[in-house]
Amino acid sequence: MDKNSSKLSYHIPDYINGNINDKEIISAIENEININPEFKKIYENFRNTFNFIHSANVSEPPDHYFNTILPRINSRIHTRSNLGFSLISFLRNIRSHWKYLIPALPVILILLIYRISFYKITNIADSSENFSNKNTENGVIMNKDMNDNSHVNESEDIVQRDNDQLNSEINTFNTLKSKKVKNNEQNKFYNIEENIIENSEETDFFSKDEEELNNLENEFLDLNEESQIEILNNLKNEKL
Amino acid sequence: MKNKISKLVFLIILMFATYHLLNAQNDNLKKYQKLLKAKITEKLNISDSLADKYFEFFNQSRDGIKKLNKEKIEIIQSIEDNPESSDISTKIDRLLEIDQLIENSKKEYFNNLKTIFSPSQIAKSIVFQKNLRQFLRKEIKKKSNNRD
Repeated sequence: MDKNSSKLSYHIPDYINGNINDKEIISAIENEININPEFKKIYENFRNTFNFIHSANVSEPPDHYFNTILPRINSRIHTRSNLGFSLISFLRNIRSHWKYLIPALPVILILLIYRISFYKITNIADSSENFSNKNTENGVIMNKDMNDNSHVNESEDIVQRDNDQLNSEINTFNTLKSKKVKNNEQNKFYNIEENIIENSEETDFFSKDEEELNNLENEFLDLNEESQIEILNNLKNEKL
Repeated sequence: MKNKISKLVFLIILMFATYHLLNAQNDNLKKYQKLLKAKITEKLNISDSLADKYFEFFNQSRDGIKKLNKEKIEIIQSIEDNPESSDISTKIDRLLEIDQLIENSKKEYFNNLKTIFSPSQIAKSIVFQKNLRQFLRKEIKKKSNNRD
């Protein structure tokens, strides 16, 4: 379609409805319809559409439609307010919940931190109190071997020997560390270091740091619940 | 009104979830303590009351040593920060004193154990503690590696 035809096509609706007074435009449109089949097709489409619009008969609503319109509007409003309880509506209105959530969150966080730290610090340590309170009626029970101090001394000697061994290993480690090892010997050095650390773990008949178990228990509590349960199950099967 | 109820329900659910989280942790700690008690009872072939007494002595000793170690760390830190301070000698003396107090606390712990256990039971309890530490170390290391 050329430029002229394209311009004329804008006048087609007015031409069909008889709204054009300019005779030149009318004759140009009629001429174009006769010579340009594409333009003619557009014209016919418009004409059919307008004919349909004019011929279509819109039925009027029945009388009772207006009589019941108010109850129906109220019913729709009611349905919409009921939707406010649905999850979708709840999620849609989540923004309005923040004003309740934000003041609640710090309180929950403080409670959480307080409970965790309180539990870690006191509960493990205070378990002794629980044990003792429950069993005060039993008093201190003297064991049959109580007076056999020779055995105790023997076990203390073993412990002392292990401590001495540990100390000597730590000294060896410190001596090695103090020597400036060349780069090509560093790997060897680190292997020795690892071995010593492992050995010290093996020989800590008494824990070098008495708090170690406490720290390990705290680390255990820091793990997620799944890991904690897994460790507890493993502990159940472990022969300590 | 209904909107307010939905907000209230939301808050209750949130608090319930938090409470559940805390309770789960407490439950696991209780399970852990219960398990330890069962293990020591089995290993040392002792009664429940003796196991309770054992944990009482153990925790008592550990708390005392914990306090002493805390003080020791503070002193070491202050020595590192200011080796020129006028009271440095007192601090060094206190360090040695703390080491001695820790040793005394260990001895006291074993003396307490002697009142309830036979020597072989004491030895087994030491092995128990050692194995427990090793087990926890190994498990926590494993979990940390998995997490990395």
